[in-house]
Amino acid sequence: MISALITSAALSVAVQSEPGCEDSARDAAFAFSRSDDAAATEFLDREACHGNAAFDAMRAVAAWRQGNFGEAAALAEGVVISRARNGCARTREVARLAFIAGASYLAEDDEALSRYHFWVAHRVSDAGGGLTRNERDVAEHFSEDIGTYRSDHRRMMDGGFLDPLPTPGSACAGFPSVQLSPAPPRDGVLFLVVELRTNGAGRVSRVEEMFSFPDAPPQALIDSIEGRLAFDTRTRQQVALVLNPCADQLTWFDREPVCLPGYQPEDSQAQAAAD
Amino acid sequence: MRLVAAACLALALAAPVAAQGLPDSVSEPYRAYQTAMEAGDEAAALDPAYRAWQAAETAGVDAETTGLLADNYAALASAAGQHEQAAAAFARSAEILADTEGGTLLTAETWRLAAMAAYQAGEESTTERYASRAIDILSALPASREVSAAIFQTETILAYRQFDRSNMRAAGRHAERAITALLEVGPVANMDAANIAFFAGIANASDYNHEEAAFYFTIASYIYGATSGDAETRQIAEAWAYYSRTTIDDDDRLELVRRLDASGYRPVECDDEDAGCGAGETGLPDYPEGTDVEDASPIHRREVTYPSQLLSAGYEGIVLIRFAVEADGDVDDIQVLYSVPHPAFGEAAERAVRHWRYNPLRVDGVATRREGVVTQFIFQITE
Repeated sequence: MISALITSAALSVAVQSEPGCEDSARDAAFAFSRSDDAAATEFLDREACHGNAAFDAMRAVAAWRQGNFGEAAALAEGVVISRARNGCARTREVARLAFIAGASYLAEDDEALSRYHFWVAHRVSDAGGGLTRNERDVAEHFSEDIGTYRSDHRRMMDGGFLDPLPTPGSACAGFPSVQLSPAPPRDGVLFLVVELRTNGAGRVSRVEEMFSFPDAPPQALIDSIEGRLAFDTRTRQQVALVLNPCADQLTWFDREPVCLPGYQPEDSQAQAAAD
Repeated sequence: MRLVAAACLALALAAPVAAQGLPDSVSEPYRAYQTAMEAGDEAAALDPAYRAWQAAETAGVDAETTGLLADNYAALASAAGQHEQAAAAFARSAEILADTEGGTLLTAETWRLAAMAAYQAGEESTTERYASRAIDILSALPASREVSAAIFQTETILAYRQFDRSNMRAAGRHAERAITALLEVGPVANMDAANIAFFAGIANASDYNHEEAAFYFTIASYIYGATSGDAETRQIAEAWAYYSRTTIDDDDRLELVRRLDASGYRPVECDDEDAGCGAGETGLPDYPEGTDVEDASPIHRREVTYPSQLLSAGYEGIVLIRFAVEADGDVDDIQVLYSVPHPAFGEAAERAVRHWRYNPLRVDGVATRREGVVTQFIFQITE
């Protein structure tokens, strides 16, 4: 009997010496806030914690910061679903994770899932904050058609965000902070939403940054967008660009892709091969 | 669209009658009826059932027995497609029930069966009269699922009747009442429910009630999607539902999804576009990742001319039309998906659309033919 008790106590000590998944997630969040992605990555190197909401939230942030949009979207979506099921829908972290999912799905060209998650982000932020004004505008813009398509309906009905969001209980506290910015993730990756205005000749006459991650767009990039010939005259539209390091969303009339300063269109292929 | 509520419902009401103590003129044909029914020979049972009922009427047999005999015959006549006779017999049974039991659910149900048979017999005014008797009784009964179900079935008959007479607004009123009652019962997915929701959509679209039209068309598209109806009808409903959802603003669309959620109806899981899922919606193919798509947009739309004969006759109408926009901006491949109450409305819409001009769809900057543009025309006479 005595030896059994001793074994049990020793085990208990051993378990305590291993940090919990939430602790690792909080450590990673702290590292991200210091732009120390290397440290964050080490904290997140625990396969046994996969599936833990706080831990997966940080994995989503890590993927987002590295420009791994497919992974970021799937992880952020999973955490948003799990937080909503646990009565924690109306929290700043859910707004930000939904934004990461929306932007990442947009980068992955999945408009339906992007639209839904931006709608969630906007809705949660309206109720409980979490997004800056520009981020809210971006989320609103890219979700403005929500409900038009039948494929939206099931997601909206099943997602837990359709009805007024409940006040989060005390169990929702302590979730690690999710930051959408700042700090550069990986060289040569920029997620940028700009509002473009075209003049009477159909040329882009004004470029206004709405959202940019991880950093503000270089002026040279903005300059390279101005003057491009668009399809429509005198329009105002928001466009999302995923520069990795180039983006081809503005290749109207056979123009070259838009690239981050210092990069060429062929770097996109090299980057894709490296990935 | 045809009312498909099964006549076999009526057979369920066929009831046994104790033949003892009845005059021979009644008991003999009743025994023949019973023998045929036990042998499963409904055709052979029809004539003796009629004779037993008529003999009971002549011999002054008690009301309850006479009513049951009328009911037996009505059920067989209905199943045999003798709707006029079925209507008269159900109506007689309902009258007797009203006298003996008063305004019960059974009385109302029997009036409804009479109305159904009259509708199937093409007796317009009789249908209306019998259905009204049923509705009067049902409206006075305490609310229950059974009462709501009966209201749905009765209002459905009235909606079909008005629809057949090209009276879309009246059909829509009955259809809305039917759906309201149906939502109290719970979601039921059959062709009648789908058609009725569709009628309510048309009536509301005709009155520019965009939010209501979106609600009913979407319910219809959900139900058509869940039933094994024909693909064409499903696509029309989907196209109209999608179109109507584009006509309402963001807040109303959110409210719409809440209402749909509360209705208990849900879109079927349907992610396979190759199987036709959502094919009636945007009409745009699933372009590869990174494709820049600028949808076609109208430059010039010629006004539609109201068909003069329909105008002078006071007919109003509604049309759903689908067409393609060529790479040069011309309209092509015009299809009238729906035109009620008269095809001339669709023809007038088609003539106008033929002269429309568009900025073409651009895919990565290249002007491209755009399939599946859908639009709606409302023909309304204003003072």
